[in-house]
Amino acid sequence: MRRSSEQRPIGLRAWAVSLVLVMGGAWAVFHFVDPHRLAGRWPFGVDRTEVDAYAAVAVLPFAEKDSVRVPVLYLGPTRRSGSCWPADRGRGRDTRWMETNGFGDSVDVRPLRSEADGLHVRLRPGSELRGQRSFTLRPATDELLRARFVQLLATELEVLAPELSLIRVISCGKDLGIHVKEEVPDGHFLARHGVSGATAIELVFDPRLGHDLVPRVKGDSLANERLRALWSSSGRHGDAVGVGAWSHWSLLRMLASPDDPWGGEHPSAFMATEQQLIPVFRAPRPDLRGPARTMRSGPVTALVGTEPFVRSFRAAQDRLTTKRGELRERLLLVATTWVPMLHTGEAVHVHMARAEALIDELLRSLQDRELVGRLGLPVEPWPGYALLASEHAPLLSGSEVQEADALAELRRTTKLVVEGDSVVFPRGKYRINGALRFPQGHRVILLPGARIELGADAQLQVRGPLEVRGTKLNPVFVRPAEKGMPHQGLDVVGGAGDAAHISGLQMSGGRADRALVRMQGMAQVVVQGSVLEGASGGTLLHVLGGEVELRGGMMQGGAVQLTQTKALLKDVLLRGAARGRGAGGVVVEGGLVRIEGGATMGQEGAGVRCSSAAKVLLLGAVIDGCAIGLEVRDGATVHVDDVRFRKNDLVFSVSSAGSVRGSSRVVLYRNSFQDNGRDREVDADSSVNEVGTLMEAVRSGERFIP
Amino acid sequence: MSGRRTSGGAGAWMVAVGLIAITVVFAALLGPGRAASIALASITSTLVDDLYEGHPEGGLPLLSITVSPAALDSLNSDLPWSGGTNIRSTVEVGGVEYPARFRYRGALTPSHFLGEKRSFRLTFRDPPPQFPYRKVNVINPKSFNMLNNHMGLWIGGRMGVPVPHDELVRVEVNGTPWGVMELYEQPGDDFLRARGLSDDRVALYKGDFGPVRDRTLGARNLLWQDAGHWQFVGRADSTTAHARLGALVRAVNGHGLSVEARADSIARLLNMDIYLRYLAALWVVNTSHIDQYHNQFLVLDPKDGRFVPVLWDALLMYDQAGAPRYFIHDALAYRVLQVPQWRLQRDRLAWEALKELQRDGLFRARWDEVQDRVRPHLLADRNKFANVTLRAEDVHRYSILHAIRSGQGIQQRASTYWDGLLTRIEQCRVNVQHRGNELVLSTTDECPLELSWAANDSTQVAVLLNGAPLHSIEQGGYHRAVIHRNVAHSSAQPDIYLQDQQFKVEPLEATLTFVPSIPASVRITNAITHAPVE
Repeated sequence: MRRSSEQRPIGLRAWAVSLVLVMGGAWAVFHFVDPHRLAGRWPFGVDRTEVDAYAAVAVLPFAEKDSVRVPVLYLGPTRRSGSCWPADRGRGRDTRWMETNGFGDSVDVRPLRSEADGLHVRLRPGSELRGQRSFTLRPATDELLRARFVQLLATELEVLAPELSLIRVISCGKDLGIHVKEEVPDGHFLARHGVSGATAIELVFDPRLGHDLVPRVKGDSLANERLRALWSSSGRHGDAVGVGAWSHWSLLRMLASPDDPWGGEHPSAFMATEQQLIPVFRAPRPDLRGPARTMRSGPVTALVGTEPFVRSFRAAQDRLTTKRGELRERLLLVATTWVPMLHTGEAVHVHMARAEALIDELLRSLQDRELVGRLGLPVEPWPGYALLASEHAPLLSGSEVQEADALAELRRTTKLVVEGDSVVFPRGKYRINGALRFPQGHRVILLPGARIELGADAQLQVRGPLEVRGTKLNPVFVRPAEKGMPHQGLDVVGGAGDAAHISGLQMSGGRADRALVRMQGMAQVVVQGSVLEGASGGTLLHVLGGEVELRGGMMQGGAVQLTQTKALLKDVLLRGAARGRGAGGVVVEGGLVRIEGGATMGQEGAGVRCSSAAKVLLLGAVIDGCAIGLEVRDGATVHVDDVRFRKNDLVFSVSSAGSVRGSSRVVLYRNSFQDNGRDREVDADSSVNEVGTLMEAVRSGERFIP
Repeated sequence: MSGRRTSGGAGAWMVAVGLIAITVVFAALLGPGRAASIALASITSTLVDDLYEGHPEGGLPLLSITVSPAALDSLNSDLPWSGGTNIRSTVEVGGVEYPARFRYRGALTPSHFLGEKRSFRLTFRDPPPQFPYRKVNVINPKSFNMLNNHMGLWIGGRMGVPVPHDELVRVEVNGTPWGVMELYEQPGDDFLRARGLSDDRVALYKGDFGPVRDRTLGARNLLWQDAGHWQFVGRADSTTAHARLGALVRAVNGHGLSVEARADSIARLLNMDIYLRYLAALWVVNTSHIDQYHNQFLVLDPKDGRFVPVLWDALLMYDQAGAPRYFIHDALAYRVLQVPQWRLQRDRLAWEALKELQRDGLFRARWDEVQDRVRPHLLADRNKFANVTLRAEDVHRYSILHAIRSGQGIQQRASTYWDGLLTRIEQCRVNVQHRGNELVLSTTDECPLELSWAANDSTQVAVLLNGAPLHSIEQGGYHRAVIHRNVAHSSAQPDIYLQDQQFKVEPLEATLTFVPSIPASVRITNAITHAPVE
């Protein structure tokens, strides 16, 4: 038998039969096979999109038409260019008319910067849509369902999560399809959820994103300062960051995006006053870079893997697992609402089966005890992190480069306590060699009975607030560790708003060429009942800037130097050195200073020296046994009332030589002079005027100085 | 039939002879090595890359730039001198358009402007959130593998040094793919603000060749000779910054200062922690691309009024001549590396980084991660241009094979170099002899030594090093003292402005005298690694 080589045409009937057979087969498969099987994995590499296509062909012509009502949002053209979304892709905001659910108003819109084809909508001040001020619109995708489910779990764990809803967008009459509407987690959102006083910030954990080393709040310098402080002390602020809330957030991220929990940008609330960081769960967004393989160092990632974090993470899993049945019902309810809207015109029962499978997968994950282990990725430090960690910086090159762990070592070997951002020296003895710099912004507290021994050239460097809480009976001592080996004292640099409160400090043994205590940039310095001693002259206390109050106490063998301050010295005793006379009493360089009561005695230089256009009042004080009682230079003005000048070589030396700030001037009220050498040396450009009586308001302190 | 065959064969022969003739002519004109390199690059790029038909999407961000074709043609026709001219452009990132100014850059290096992949700069008024910097450079990467600079900066950043943001991107200009390029932040007065470290603009200086003027390349000035050789960038207040830079330059080039006094001055004007990290990074990255004249930035940190260096153009394995221990890339480095404590600190920072990068395999893992994302785009990139020979003008198209080979080569070189560095840092063989209350130490290895003994209040021990008191500190129940190594200058006539200098570690011959006696607990360790000496 030979087969005919003639080609036989396939007739119409054959086509029709084969079509009916295939369609019938497909119809039978998609009608009688359990949808859960259809929604599962198919053999031979059949993709789920192919299944969807077959289902659409086989089922839809015969399916009952479900009437699913999806809310509609209408957008008009922009006011500026008249163009319609999505034609206008400029980054700027523009105004469009928006109408939905009985709401109609002009709104500000701009394209979403983090995702193509998305839109950011902001309502006018005072206007709200379902309580929301701003929201985003993005084309809805299948992945959204997972995010919606996890959002529901977020409410169970009391993690803030913006509302997600589906909406059909019609722009200038053109149907753009189903979009997801998501509230923007901004200040309004936070206030609406009871987190008042917080600022919305974005955090980045993916090292590939070149964003801020520290998150920044535009126009809020306090919040920025606090954020920098929080970031610079990463890993030491578990309480501020909130282990519980962030572990719950991490669980949600693992459920929503198991392959990439740290990718993208993450909204968060920062409470500057409490210095607290609160997480906000937002649906993951696609990242074309793929999953992050490492995570950035920072206060949040520092928590991952710690024992409290793991415990809290697993507790959250348990909490949800105990409600498994109830949660399944609620998630199914969400699915029955969302799936028909997301898949209008498709084989809904197949998608519904997929949604059920997804729910089961999520609930199974809650029982996975190893889930928390998969969260931890290798930590990648921020590029240039040393800009934050300035405490490692060696300040003094001449001494040994500071060991980074000096503070830790001291903490290990002494009773020193580090609590949050405070370093506390309780009663006890501390030996410090070299320069010990406390971390930037940390408060240093010296409690009564603390005895600090500083080695040769050692220095305490405080870079934040300082509190010395000594008393008359239990002073705080700072002394040289070895006799004859002077140290470099205390160096305090503060930021805006920082204060130094010193009481009951007894300090001695500093180098002659450095101030025993030097304070710079503090908003307020208060020194009470303290004794500072310099063996070889020099400066005992040097304050630069800010408001200063010195009450009582004694300064011996050196000067108090005030540079551009507003200062009150009340009943302070300044003596020369223990043997013979000291270098100088009070040195005022600019600013406003009121010296009330007290005495300056036995100084080799001037009892009080004023320069740089300082305005000074000397009231009720004693200046005794100094080379010069009062020296006034460079345009300074000094009012002198009720002062007793005694046994000074020269009472007044007033000069304007070389002054760039005008004439120097002394105004005398009622004073007493006794056994002084000479009365005054006044050059031609300066003056000493004797006038009547000092204003009562000044005398009483109602006015600071005349 | 046979006649047709004959004429066809003759044609083929003519083509072959023609090709051979062209090859011979090129080989004669260019030299055989150069001609072979160019030919190989051309052939492989045609035979391998041009056959690839994939269009990878993910992995790298896409920058789609639209400029006026006429304006672009005008710039193209006058390269490199048109580099200073800005034209308007629109940059689309993530589906959103941002207006920007566009100009070509890089008049000095031909790979920036020869070929079809030209480096340019974008200046934004309102930058995209993906790279929130006012100015970014989009450059033709300088190596075949495209990752050298990216990885060099990654290492520096990982070591804590401030670095510009750097990432690989895909670029389209007027719809034409330009292939994979390197997006590189241009440091400006927003440098700290973009990192959340300042609310205001900051003073920033660029230490580089002078600007191109009148079709002439900029002047090469010794940066540390005069503060005026630094270019102030941005609109921050410059009053304090100028004074401080002047003081820093004087501290570097001033005469008659002792090492200690000079170091004190420098430490007050420069953040030494970051600068030592910077020096450590230069050693680890093994780059000599930063020198007395260019590739430097200094930012004045408003927090403490000290300057901070920014690592810039840190080409990986751009060898420092003579495998130096203490490479002196400029006059400031000369002054800093004179201070033994700072040398020690730099070494410690480098050692810590090397352990992670090499021993823990972090460099390799990072390289693989970036390469996995880049490679599909590199394969699809038919616009890969670079120097295929060592001659500047030989900027030609190259193939993915070049990129793969280059990537393997650089990894191998880095690995060998870092193994060598680790050995150099950790090796510490010291000959120790006891003579009564003396220890005589000698070594030719480069390690500084740390001497420690238990603190005992009842017996105070004084130590003399070659007759001079050795300063010790008490820490953790031990007295510790470092025996720093003396260094010698590499050239006969030390000059802070010489290029490619180094300090060499001199052999150690030291006598330690303990008064009253050698403590039983005395230990000698490598001061960098704290491991006992061998």
